[in-house]
Amino acid sequence: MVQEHGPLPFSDEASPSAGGAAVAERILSSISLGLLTVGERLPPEVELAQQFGVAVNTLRKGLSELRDREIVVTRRGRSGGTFIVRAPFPSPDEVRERLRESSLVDLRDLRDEQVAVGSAIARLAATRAWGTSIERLAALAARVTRAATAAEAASADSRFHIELAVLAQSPRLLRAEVRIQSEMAPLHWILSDFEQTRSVVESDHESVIRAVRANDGTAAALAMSEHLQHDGVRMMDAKLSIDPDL
Amino acid sequence: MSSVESTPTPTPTASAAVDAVAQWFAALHADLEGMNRDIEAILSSASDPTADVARLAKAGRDGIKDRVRVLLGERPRVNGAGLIFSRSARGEGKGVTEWWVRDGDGDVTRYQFGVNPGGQRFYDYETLEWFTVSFTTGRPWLTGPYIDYLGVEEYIVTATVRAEVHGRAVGVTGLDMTVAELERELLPLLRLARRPSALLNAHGGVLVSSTSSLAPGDLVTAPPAGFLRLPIPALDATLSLLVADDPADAR
Repeated sequence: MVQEHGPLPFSDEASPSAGGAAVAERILSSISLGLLTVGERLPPEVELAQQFGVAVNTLRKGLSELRDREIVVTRRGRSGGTFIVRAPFPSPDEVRERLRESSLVDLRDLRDEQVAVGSAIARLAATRAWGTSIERLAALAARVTRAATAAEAASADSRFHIELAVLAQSPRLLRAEVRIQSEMAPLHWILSDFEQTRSVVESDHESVIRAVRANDGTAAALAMSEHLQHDGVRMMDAKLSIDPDL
Repeated sequence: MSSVESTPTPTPTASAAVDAVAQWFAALHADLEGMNRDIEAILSSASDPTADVARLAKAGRDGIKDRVRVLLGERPRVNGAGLIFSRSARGEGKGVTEWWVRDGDGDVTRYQFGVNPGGQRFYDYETLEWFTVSFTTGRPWLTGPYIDYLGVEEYIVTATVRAEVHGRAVGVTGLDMTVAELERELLPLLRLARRPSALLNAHGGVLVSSTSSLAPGDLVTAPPAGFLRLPIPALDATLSLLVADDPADAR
């Protein structure tokens, strides 16, 4: 169920004097660089402290800071551990840099995966969701409408897609959607015209909800696929506009 | 689904499956009620009637832990259990939860949810079916199958009853079981029908099925052709069993 990984690539950079804040920063940059992904479980504390070359107490301070910022959660129990649950929200400059580094074909492939996963989720949600759970989805869609900034809207947009995956009742597809949303949501919102994006996303989400309410899997998959095509076009346009030499 | 359909006459094997499933849920409900009564008593003696739920939870923590440990000992397939409190003022203050899950060493450990309403990962449990139905109606309820996103993050069912202390509803006492473990418990009972059958929740969602034509999570708004829907006389008759008329294609 959970991905594990070997020594983290940043470990050799850590100095023994690095404090908790430095540990937190290093983990954050690993997430931003894609070395650690949302959903991943961190190695046990003792092991991680060794990799950083810090005392276990120092490491705990760093993790505690990330917990306060809701970047990681620590779960107890049989399948417990410390998990990355959210990527730090990137600045417009960071998004620009990511788009500059990505080729159009990379972006197309990201979109292809999102369309495949998203449409399957929409189809399943339409055949499995019932009344009150659909109203909850509609309430989450309304948060996009109320969002005042691109960052808020991106977060609300992600939450809508994740809730749809919850309604689809497939833990595997939910994990895939959570990962995809952490990668894609900022790219969809940060560099595009806010009002215009919001009005397209709102109306797209409404079409999906309508199909889910009607328990129409085919219509839901189609509406989602169209929605994600719109997102993909916006993302590629953003890439083309910041990279005039292309 | 309403229960206005005329009551069909089940075959003896279908009745055997219905009875076995009903007994299983009645026993589960009895265990849950037993735990709830004990926890209510623990909380009543540890608090006075003016205590808010946060103080109540704190005073009862050790007692709840001990009682949940007993339940998880008796029910190896139950994942976790405890009491989830209603926040005294909706939308204000943090959620209050005393929920215990198995740790890796055969004991229990307290599960902590995102209880801060301002947080990105706030577990807004007072809007969820497993909380609202039992808390507002006082009925025993089975929620699921559902993915408990931001909760225990598993694909589960949750059985709940209302907890009352000093004559006041304070929250719901519940237990979780993964859908996979529920299947291990109930599939043998469904097979007593000797024909394709599927257990449905109150919304017509499939909990467990002995036929590949109906998978867990599928929504059945009307019985498919060739199936009877029989109410399960347990948990307020909210569950039902779909059973094929014809055993020919029984698996």
